[in-house]
Amino acid sequence: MLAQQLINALGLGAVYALFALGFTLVFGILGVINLAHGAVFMLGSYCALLLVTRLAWGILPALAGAMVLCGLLGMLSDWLLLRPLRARNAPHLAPMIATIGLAGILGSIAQAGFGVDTQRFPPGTIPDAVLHLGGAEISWIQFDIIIVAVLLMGGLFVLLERSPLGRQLRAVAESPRHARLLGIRVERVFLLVAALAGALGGAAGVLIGLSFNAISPFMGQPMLHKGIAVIILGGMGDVRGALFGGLFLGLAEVLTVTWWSSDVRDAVAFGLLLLVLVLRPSGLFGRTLIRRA
Amino acid sequence: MPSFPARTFRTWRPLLGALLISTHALSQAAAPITIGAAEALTGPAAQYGVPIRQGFDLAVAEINAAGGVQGHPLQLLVEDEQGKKDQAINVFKKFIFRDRVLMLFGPTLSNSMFAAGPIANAAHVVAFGTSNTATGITDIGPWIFRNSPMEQDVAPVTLAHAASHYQAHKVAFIYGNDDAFTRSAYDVFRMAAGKSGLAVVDTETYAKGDVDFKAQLTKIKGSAPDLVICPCLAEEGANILLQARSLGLRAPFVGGNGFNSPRLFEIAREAAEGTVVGSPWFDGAATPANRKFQDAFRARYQTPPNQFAAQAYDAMQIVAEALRHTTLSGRLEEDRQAVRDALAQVHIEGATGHFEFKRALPVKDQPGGWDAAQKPFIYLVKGGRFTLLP
Amino acid sequence: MSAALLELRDLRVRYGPVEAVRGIHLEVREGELIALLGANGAGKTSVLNAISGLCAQASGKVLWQGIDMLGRPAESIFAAGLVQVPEGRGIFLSLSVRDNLMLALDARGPSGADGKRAFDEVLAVFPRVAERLAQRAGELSGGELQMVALARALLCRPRLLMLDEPSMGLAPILVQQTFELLARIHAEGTSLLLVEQNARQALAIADRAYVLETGNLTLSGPATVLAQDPRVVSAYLGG
Ligand SMILES: Nc1ncnc2c1ncn2[C@@H]1O[C@H](COP(=O)(O)OP(=O)(O)O)[C@@H](O)[C@H]1O
Ligand SMILES: [Mg+2]
Repeated sequence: MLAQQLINALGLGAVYALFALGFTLVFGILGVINLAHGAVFMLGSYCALLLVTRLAWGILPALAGAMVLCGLLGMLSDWLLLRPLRARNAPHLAPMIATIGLAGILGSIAQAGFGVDTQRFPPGTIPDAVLHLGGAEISWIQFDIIIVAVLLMGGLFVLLERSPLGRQLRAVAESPRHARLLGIRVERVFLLVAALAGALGGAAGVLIGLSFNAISPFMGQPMLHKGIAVIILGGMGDVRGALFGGLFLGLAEVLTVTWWSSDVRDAVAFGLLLLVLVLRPSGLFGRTLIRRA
Repeated sequence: MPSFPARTFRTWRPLLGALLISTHALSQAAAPITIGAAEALTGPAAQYGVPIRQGFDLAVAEINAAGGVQGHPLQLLVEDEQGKKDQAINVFKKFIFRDRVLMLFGPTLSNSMFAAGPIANAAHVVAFGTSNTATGITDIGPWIFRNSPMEQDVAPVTLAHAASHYQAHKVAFIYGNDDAFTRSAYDVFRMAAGKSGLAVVDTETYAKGDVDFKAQLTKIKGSAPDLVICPCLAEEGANILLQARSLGLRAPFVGGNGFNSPRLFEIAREAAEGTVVGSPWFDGAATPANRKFQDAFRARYQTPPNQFAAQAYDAMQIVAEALRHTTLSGRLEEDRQAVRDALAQVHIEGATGHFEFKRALPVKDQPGGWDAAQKPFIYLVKGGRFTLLP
Repeated sequence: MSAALLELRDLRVRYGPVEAVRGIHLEVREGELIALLGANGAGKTSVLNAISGLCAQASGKVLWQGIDMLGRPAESIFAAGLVQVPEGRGIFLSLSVRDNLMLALDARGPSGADGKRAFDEVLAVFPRVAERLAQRAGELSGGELQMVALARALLCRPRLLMLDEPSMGLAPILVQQTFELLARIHAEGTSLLLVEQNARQALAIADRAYVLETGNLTLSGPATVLAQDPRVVSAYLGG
């Protein structure tokens, strides 16, 4: 049973990590807590669902399509919402509030357009086979999510740490003003990050929608809460932190259920979160980026 | 469920609120009788609120087409309470004090009735819930009515049928412990299990919005129950069933009122086979009232009705029947009292079968409201549909 | 007399109701080292930022080889060869030293062998920087950061290098070293606009200098002349 629970924890943690990747990227580089990430995640699910059901696309092209559309949505929201705020040097809270507004608008659009009923991919969209690993079971899609989360995290990490573009992203993260003095097109970087985060959020939405069979206009909100916990745990803005924070939270939740009780699951998980914050204020992965003017 | 253009409009104009006045013939001579309905038309609870409104609208259309009651057409004011307590309170206040309605339907969720019901009770206006199944709703006071049978009445019957069908001795629970509806359903199932001598081998909970139940289900599997009791909503329940089966947990499930939706097996397919559910309504019941309701509903909405539409439809018929036995004076306070008195006496044959109210027991010497006295149907999911469990 | 490389005409900078720079005229000719002196708050940084395209509310003209750059985005001003080392040096402390330097090469576009050669040449000038390439810039001392800043600025191939108080916060020995390096960079043909409060040493290496007081230029002339001017001596050279 413990082996099964560890697999459950890995699967759940990967889900959290997948969601948190785009979330942490935007925080790390744009310095914005993007509370619309849950809505983008939700729309990603619907995009793929429509592509699969209306246009009869396969799930992989639909995943790509959802990523592109959510990437565009990310760009659009940066261009229309965050850029004007940056230009006006709005106080720190303003962009976050703006993303709450955006989340509300996107949520209403989804409710109006898709209805409030939970929807799901048609049976057979992905093989619903189960892998047996010595007494423990894991569904293919869960297995895929773990792989995808690790691959995306790895890809993002390499992009950020090893590529010229990543170098520029990190420079902008630390100081947009100084980055401009080195000829970096900061607005383009912001737009790119917003697109990347949107695409990652969309991908997370598709995979999680597939895995849990529950696509609804409300699916983003609970995920957002976990996402916030994950990026605080992992270290705000750190992509490795998103993976480890996600796994940590997944493990904490599942082991609490296993060894104690599901009644106290969230209390223990969020209690641990507080403990980590007290002991290591900058998160498990810890270095806090302090943005300079 | 189809989406209506009107709903889109409403979503965009939340501040204006949605005042949707049902179709009624303006040519009718006598003054209309105005009734308010506060239901969740947007938000997660809209999956219940929307069919409820459809049931009301259908009944009002039929009643008015037949000349109204005592020559008065019914006029139904519907407002969206969004499944939120504060919104339900606002809508109730507006209906009672501004629109001065004769009586109220709603709200959709038990949670909201607990919040808004006391306002109607204090103002001496009937609040008639068609979908509230939580224990204690009618303890609010003598002005609170519901035609939705309490989970408390349905659960013991359901569990007894399931236990004898499967010869079960050990049961495990999984339920959402942060929601009044599923909590109260859990409480009554837990009590029923205790009374019928079933051993509870594990109890697991989850939180609203959870989508991964594998940790809890793995633990339940470890406790090897004969039945898993899952007093939750169908959508969630279906996902729980799917995940349970993928983990190799094979025990049959027992559900409460929330499981009572075709969504259960539409989503869970084979995983839902063998599930036992109690329901106040059976679409296969061959009574004339049920047939007439289903045919009319399909004709009007091009989709089959569900339990919530059936209960709302019956509720409106119950009110019409009460009004037929009331003489309205035109003085609002007196008329509100007269409707309350007449409602308590109604018995009809509705889509959900024979219906009458029973008085809730007084709580601390405070008089209670009025619950449904109805026998539930017990279903077994078999071959991808609900069949009656003999 | 050669034509001006950079010419400021009636440059004004506002921050809301406050006018920080009040219509100044300033010229830098090819190959010159110009010092812009002034007390704290005089408006020196604002002048540099207006040139670099970082001030939203600047007016007048910033003529770069005769073309007005005012209002252009910072990156196109940078691309024209106007490179600024900002106050506090603008090193990215969370990045490695190598990444800080590479940012300058990235700005040139794909450069390949050319970039590599430039990198090696600059590192030869700053051996201390070469030793620290893999380290996070945040771990370096102030003097080392100064070297990284200068190395990075040179990698940007400036036509005009603008430095905002490079001596600030450095020990006297490092200040001395910094000015020697600037003199050397100047000697190799780079034009410089040096903003300083440290007037004595700035005047020692500058060709000409301007004095800014509360947004107005009050004095200007050859560095050697200004260094003798009693007003400069009393106000900036400590009597
Ligand atoms: N971003 C800003 N907002 C408002 N006022 C500013 C800003 N930057 C500088 N100032 C004001 O403009 C004046 C000149 O500042 P600055 O150019 O930094 O001078 P210096 O570099 O010579 O010390 C000062 O009075 C300063 O307070
Ligand atoms: Mg300054």
